[in-house]
Amino acid sequence: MGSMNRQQEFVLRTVEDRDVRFIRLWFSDVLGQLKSVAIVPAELEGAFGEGIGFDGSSVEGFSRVFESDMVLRPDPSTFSLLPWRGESEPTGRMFCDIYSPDGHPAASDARNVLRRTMDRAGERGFTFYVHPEIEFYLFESGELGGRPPVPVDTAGYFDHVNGGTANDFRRTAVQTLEAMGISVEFSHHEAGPGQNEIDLRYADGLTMADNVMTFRALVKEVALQQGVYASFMPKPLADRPGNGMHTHMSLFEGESNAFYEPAGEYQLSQTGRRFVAGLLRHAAEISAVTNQYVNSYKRIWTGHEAPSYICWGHRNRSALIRVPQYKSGKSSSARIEYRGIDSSANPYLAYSVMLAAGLKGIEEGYELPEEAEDNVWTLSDNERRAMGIEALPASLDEALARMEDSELVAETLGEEVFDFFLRNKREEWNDYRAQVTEYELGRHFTAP
Amino acid sequence: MRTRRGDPARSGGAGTSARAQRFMGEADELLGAEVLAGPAVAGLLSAAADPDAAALGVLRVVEAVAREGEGDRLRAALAGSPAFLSRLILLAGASEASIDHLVRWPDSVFVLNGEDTHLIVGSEDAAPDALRRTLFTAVGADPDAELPTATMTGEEAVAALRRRYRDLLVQVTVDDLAALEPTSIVESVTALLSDLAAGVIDAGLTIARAETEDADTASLAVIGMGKCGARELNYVSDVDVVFCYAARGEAPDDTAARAATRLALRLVEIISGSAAEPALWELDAALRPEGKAGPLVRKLEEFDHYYAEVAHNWEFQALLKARPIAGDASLGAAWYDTLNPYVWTASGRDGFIEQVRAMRVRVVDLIPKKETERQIKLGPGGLRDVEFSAQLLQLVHGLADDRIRVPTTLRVLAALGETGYIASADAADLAEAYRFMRVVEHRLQIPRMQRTALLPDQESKLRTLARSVYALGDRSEGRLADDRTAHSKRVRGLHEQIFYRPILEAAAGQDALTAMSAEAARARLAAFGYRGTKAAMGHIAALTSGVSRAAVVHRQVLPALLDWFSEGVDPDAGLLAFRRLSESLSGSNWYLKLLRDSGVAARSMAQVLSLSEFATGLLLHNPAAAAWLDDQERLQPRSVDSLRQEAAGLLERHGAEAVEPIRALYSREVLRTALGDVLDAVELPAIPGILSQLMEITIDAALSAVRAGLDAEADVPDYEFAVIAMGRLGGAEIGYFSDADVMFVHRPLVDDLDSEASGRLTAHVKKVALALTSALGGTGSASLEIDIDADLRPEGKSGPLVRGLESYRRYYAKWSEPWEAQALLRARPIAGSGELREAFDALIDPLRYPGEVPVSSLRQMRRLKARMESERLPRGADPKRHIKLGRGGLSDVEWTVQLLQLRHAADHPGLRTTSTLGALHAAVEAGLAGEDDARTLETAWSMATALRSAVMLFRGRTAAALPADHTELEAAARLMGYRPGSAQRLAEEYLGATRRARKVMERLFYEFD
Repeated sequence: MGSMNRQQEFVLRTVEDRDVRFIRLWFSDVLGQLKSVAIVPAELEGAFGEGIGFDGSSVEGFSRVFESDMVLRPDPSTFSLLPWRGESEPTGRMFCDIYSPDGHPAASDARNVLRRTMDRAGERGFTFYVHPEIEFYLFESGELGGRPPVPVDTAGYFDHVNGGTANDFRRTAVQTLEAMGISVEFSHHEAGPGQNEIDLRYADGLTMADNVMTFRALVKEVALQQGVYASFMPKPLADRPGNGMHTHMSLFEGESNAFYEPAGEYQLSQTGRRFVAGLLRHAAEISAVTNQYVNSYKRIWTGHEAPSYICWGHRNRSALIRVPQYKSGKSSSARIEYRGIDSSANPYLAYSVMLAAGLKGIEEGYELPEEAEDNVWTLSDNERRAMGIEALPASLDEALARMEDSELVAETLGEEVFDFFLRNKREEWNDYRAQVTEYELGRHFTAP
Repeated sequence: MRTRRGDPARSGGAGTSARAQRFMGEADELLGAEVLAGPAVAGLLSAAADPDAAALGVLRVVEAVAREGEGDRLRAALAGSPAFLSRLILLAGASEASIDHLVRWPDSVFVLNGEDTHLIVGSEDAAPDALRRTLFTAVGADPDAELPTATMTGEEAVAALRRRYRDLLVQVTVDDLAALEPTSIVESVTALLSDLAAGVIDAGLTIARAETEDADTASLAVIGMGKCGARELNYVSDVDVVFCYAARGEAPDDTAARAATRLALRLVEIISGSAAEPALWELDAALRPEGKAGPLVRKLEEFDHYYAEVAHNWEFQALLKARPIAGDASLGAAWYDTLNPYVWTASGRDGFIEQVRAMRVRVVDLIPKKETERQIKLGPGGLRDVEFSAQLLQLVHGLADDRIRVPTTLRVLAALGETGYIASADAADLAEAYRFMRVVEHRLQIPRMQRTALLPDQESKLRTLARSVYALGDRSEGRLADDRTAHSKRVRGLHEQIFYRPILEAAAGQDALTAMSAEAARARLAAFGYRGTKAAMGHIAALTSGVSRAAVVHRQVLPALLDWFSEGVDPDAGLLAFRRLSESLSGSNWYLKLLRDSGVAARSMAQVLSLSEFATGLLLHNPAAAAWLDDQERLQPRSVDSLRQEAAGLLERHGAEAVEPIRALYSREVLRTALGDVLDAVELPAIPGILSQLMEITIDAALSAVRAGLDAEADVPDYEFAVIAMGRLGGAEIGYFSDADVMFVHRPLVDDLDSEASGRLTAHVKKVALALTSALGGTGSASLEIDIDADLRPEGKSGPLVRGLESYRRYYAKWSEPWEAQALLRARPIAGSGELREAFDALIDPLRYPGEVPVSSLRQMRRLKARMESERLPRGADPKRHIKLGRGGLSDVEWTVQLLQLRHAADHPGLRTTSTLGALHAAVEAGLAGEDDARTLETAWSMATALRSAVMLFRGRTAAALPADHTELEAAARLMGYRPGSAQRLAEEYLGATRRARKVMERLFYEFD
């Protein structure tokens, strides 16, 4: 049976009108790497109808032998032209959901994991909204040749760089984002040399996860066009701040913001307080997902206002969760900010576990611990222990151990993704451990 | 017959109760004349549904009218019009709520006065426009104005509007009650009730306009959904609506949106808000786009966008009955023209029909069990069944055929009958049942004007109900119950048949009763989940064509079977299996009779055929077992004693030839177990024990038969012989597979055998073991095999097949490490000589339950397990999904339990068992394992065991791993007691359970921290 719906028709018409030559079908592997399959317009109708088959065994996390045949089903609501492909060879792209050949959503599809989690929130009457502040560095080159990367400038936080690459870059990037329908809230130079931040205007979780995937591809593309290299690596420069992806979150019940309560402390509702409590209680066990690389823990544990300790605050710039200043008259802007996650996370999985942790807090009615008012970095270990403030995992190894014991993460990711993720990350840790670093050579080569 | 004081049934015109007469006397006093106490009135009273209530109601009305000083007018009217008096009594006897209305508004009693047979039904006053005018006038609104606005506002307007509505409602009620055959006017009544609701909403809107600021900035159309939309409303039910607005003139959109929202909110209050004059019913806007989360009013473009891009499947179904009922007519018409086409595009979407059907199942599941029988609407064979069947067929075929695109259930039924999508006789039957049930539903609502569809359980109330349903003839509750049962049975029967009967006819190429094309038939099969619709049509044709007895019976039962197969995991396979079974059995009269006469048997058969290839295969060899299908008793496992007796009888009669009949017994009982398993007649956890017992009895009896044959001819000393079960058979934990791990032991009964005799005996017992193995093995028998495997014996394949007890003793004496005895933990003698069995247990007990296990031995055991994990798993197997050797699988749990047994069974006799779960429970008892840990291990082990069994049942072959194939997984889930559609859930739960079990295992077995 099966008939075209309107959105599909819209895509087909646009492809024809704009003389689009290729359509890229985008999807994410389990680690958040963007994957792409290009099809020609003639194949589009079939892609909507039956989907496009591909061999999943070549993609990270899809590699169950018996499931190597998989099917991509493009989501027509995500159709957009790729502005950087220009007018000469117009190219469109759509995000895809992944299915098994017998038509069931693939357990290993990260986008499906988020869809499922948002459906669970939906069953409780909640819609999940997100807006991220994405940090990245611009370096002179992507080729390192054994030397540390060289930033494109030496400016700092909010600096205006006269005639600098960064300004041109940001202007072009923001224009390109807007051209793809991704609204930008704000952009500025960050604290590190060559470091920039672009904040996206809020959207529902699934749309935003798609946007983050697009954002990273687009920023890298624009950088290349300008002869520089963009890196989202969590901590590319040892003595400079890392690339965080502070994420503002809110839940809506219909039209109203479930985090907003005019009489609450910081106008935060009980639902909001419990959501924060859930995130705090499960922060350690979800950190392998929100901070998925060996390198991620170097960002968390080397200062520069990175949140090493599990606590929340209002003005506190070192807290893991911040409840921002409420803008009077805008109840819809009530939200909380999770500062742990970094720019290399898989947004689908990271949003899933953050949402699940918050929902858990709401379902179980967790009590929000006391606010941490001081800069927790300046406290002594015993002071922190006395105040009941725990630390985030110090390494990927520790994060994986915490995740391994987490029923919350297993249930949220599903057993397949959960298992793959753990195995993949264990391998990463083992590879890392086998390295002999400059540091070791420098310190121990001449040791007795 | 029992009689009670004031019993209405008692009064067959013979008179009224003393109480009723007293009430009439009092009324006459108030009226100042003898109008009500005469015999004519007594006759009217005794015909009322509840004569006592009728008398009381009349008195209350008279009191109220007299209080208003209108007694004279009432007296004159009653005296002048017999019809008036009769209506008042009829109404008072059936509707307390209507009398309440007349007591609140005594003047209104005169709306019952009229000369025609009907006050309103069928009259000019009943036309939608006339109703609208009456209601508009009540609040001083001009019905012809472009933007009608009431002159009255507030509480006063609300009271006036509601009163006028109820005056009209009282007229409808009394016309309905007065009908001699209410089923014949049910369509007029429901249409009138719908138009009345539409009119009151429209008039309510004029009040809202008068009260709302900026009201003229917005046009508002009210769209009726559901029953009101289809003009088939009840007396009282929620009226579902959505609101569509448009800005008027130059008004900015947000001003218009705000005004429209306020209008809608106020309208809801005017209809449903509490006030001095009670609310009418719920005006419910929950079916709007995005439900309660969405804005109350929307523009046409927004509706358009929503249904084009966002809406869920069920929302399209709701559109089927939608129509503009109030407010701006041209906006309403535009809404209809834009949105109505979506119904027919939606039904073409993938999965649409499945989702709609699944919804029906959920609705039925939600009714509390004890209420289903009394539910006239939602119960099986109730109103919902008729509405649902009609709608479903409309959605399947309406895409291609616009002749059936009508909203009202009765009209849909008629159209389906005329177009041949269902047999016209079936359509007529459904319509008749529907009319009857609607009348009963109305009579349930009329007394209190309450929204209900639940039959009363009190006898007296049932009696009153019956008397208000039937105006003529037998008016007893017995007739009501009989009619209701007959109708709902018919609906239930038709519900199964109407979908498929036309398919049968299309398949057979007949078009006597229906005119459905083969193409439409295949479309319908596809909609119900059949994939190979061409092959399915072939099977159906083969089964039903011709004049044989079999074909006749098949034509009768196939519609229901096809429906059941369609609910199974693989409808095509179910149909094919049915064809195979029927072809092999079509000569048997009892089979055809069973199929035709026993609904239970046919239903069970459909389930077995679509869920178990294993059971179907056995059934084809043992077709007589089909007779058990309608008998829960015969699906229960037979007692061990009776089976042993039967086997003993076979041995006695057939001696050495008894092997074949013993195997037939085994096959038959395994089939019984499998059928009981598929049909949920046996508890899942009991199955492995039952199967193990069957295997033991069979091996034991077969051994006797073999020895009876071989011993007679042989020149050997007397000896004992026994079979020791190992592994899962030892633990009595087997599934439907055939493997039996065993060891053989013998012992001469003569001391001091010389070496020659001893050699002869050795050769002979080996012959016995080989003969037993081949007697039960695969070749040369139609019965199930038992695959005897002695490879776990000492020295494996290179050791002797049968050892003497002393040889075992010498062999075990060489063991130095307790871990070597691990396999013996599951050793259990199951067949052969009783004394030898005991002696064998006595020999191995000290080995397997050692007093102490040295650390070195524990380390050996752990290392062995670790090596097995990396070496034994087949290449390419996914360790998470491998049932036996996978992470947290059977072997993980069993090794954990066995380690506890080795270490502690000497001190804790409860641990001395071959049963995995038995030992695990004993370990908790002894404080050796925590309760939570034990539960985690048990859950994983039980799931793995059940999963293995389930896949074997479904596919007829063993599964090494959690199935990757979705159909197989779905079948396993259903066999394990999950709801349909739980394949993915089973996979998640299995993977989660085994992951957790592995964690416990690593702690308890390996003692990793």
